[in-house]
Amino acid sequence: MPPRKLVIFLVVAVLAALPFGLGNYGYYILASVMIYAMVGLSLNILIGMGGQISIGHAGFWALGAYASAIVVTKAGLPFLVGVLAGGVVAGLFGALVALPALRVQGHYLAIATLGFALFVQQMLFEWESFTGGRQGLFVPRPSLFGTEMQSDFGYYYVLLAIFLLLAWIAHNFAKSHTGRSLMALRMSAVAAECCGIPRPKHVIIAFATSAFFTGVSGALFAHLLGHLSTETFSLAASLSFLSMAVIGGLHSRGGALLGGFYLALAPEVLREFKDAQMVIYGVLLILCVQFLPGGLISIVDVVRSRLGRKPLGTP
Amino acid sequence: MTQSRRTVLTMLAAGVGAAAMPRLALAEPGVTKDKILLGSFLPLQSGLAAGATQMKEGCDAYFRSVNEAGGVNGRKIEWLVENDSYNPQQTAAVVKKLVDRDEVFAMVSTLGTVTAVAVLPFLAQRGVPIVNPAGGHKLLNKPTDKNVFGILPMSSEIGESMAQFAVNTLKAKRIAIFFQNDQFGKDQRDGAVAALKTLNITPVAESSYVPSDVDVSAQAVALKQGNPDVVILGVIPKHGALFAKEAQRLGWKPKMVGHNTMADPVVLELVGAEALEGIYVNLMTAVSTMDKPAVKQANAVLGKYYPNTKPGYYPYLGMAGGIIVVEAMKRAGSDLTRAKLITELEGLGHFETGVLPPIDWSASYHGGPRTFGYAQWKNGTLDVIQGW
Repeated sequence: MPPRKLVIFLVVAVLAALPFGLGNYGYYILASVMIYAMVGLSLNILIGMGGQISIGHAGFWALGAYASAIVVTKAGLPFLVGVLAGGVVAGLFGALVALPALRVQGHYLAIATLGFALFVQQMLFEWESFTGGRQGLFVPRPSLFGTEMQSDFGYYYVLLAIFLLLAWIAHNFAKSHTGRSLMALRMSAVAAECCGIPRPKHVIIAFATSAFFTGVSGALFAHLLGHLSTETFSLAASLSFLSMAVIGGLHSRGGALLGGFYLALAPEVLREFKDAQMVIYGVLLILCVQFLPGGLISIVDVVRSRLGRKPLGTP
Repeated sequence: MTQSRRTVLTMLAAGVGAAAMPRLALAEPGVTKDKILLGSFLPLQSGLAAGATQMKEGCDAYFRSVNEAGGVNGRKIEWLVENDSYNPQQTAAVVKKLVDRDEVFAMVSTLGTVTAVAVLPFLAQRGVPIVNPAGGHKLLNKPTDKNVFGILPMSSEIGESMAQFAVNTLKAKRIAIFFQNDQFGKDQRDGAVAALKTLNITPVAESSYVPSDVDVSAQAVALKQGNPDVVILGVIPKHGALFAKEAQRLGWKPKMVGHNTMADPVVLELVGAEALEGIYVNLMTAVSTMDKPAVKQANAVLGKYYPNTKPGYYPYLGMAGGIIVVEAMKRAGSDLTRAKLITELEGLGHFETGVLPPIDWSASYHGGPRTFGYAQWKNGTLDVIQGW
């Protein structure tokens, strides 16, 4: 077995073995890791490959969550159809958000995506007949083949499977013509366009794919949480996604996974520090950006370069 | 990849098997020979932080006084409070931690509407009693779940009560309503309008504001033109104070009856005694100046453990949850179980905490009180004119 495949196999084996002996609370935390890691993958595509910034991903996450909840509770369709619907609805909105991204860059794009997330949050809040508004919306537990999964233990494996599928798609996307074109556009839009790579098409694809991933994650989250209300999908959620992606590593699937672990586990570890936890969280963020600009995954690269090997993240 | 896929499938099969296993019967969670572990989630870092902290201190002070007096049937109470930052996502995490990892016996005195509603299905599934989930939602104020016990009224019931007070006690014929344009204010307005309709009265004027407004002069002028005898105020302290000040500036002196928030000492600080003179206030918690032994006792307990916290709405609200749960646990005896606690809570019947209007729980009713008190601002102090 080639070393890369061996590493992937070992990681999957560890992920599969992780929940044993952890108990219900541990299952829930691990399920959250998978859900966040999917958002990490989506930012991997949008920021890591496409170089487009977004501080509005909570908006896509919310759209996916509410779309799935509504499809399952109001239309009575199965859980997996709801998850797919969540991804598709968010993906369509992603394509729409890409339109201003064709005209603006950097900080201006960040503001535009922020505006989008605030719009989505307010719309979901006001559209009471459809979304439950302030009262929120109850979402049933996930069910497969007619059986409801009451425990997060079983659900974790469903999430792991979907994460692996999305990671595989993201990996192939990076190697595809579109993925390479996106990376070329990120490095120099002028040079890439001179080579015949159309920027509009690729930016729209990057936003739509990224939003689709985030929508799927949101849908799965809705069924994990069991109740939706707009408070969850605030600016704070968008910012924590962004920091998670940066801390994990923006340019690899492994980084997305580590980011997911970071976002789910940091509050658990820091809780013991009580009132000081936000201070410690902030200091950790600064230290990470200062000393590990490539994210936690770059620890692997540092070790590999010591051993005279090529960094993992390079496609 | 084939191998890894097989691994995942094997694990998935194992997972389904484990999930299907029946739970083994164990000792009652959270209850040991000398300790009872209770839990709560509060938005200690959020816009509601000030209220959440006071609520925590009110309940904690009471538990500490109970522990000092020997505890409940020989067991000391330990109360684990987690911050959820008013984010349902965090509430889900901390509640799963409290229930599954820490194994709390019951939840007491939580604050937040959507945050509590979000975890109700989980608490019902685990059979964890939750006493005093403070918020404004039917599932919290008029619960239908066997394990949920609410001690606050619905906002619409407060509106109804204020309308009835205006008509029956203040003998009003022409009534206007000033309310906050969100669920909090609209529910009060709807309750008031519905109650007036049964008395064949239609409001002569209505106007509203949004919480970000810094000026309510246009609304005051609009209501003045309706020439009402009484204005009902479904407001938060700041805007109630602004309205009172504006009415004073216009030289307009209608009778006013306001939500419990108008009893907050902060209103007095904002506008002074003169603007508040004569305003009636609905009471769904005690006011610190009440001449009742239970209120004096509550003030003494709070003063002993948290001398810097002023007694008022939030400390009383937190403490009321503590008083009720302690009483029910005492009655349940030394062989304490969740099922027994629920039976005893339902068996409390007409029960006075002294700091809130009495509750009337039974097997079929787990909701908040249906009676209220009224007070009137006179020379900068609240004069209770109607007890509960």
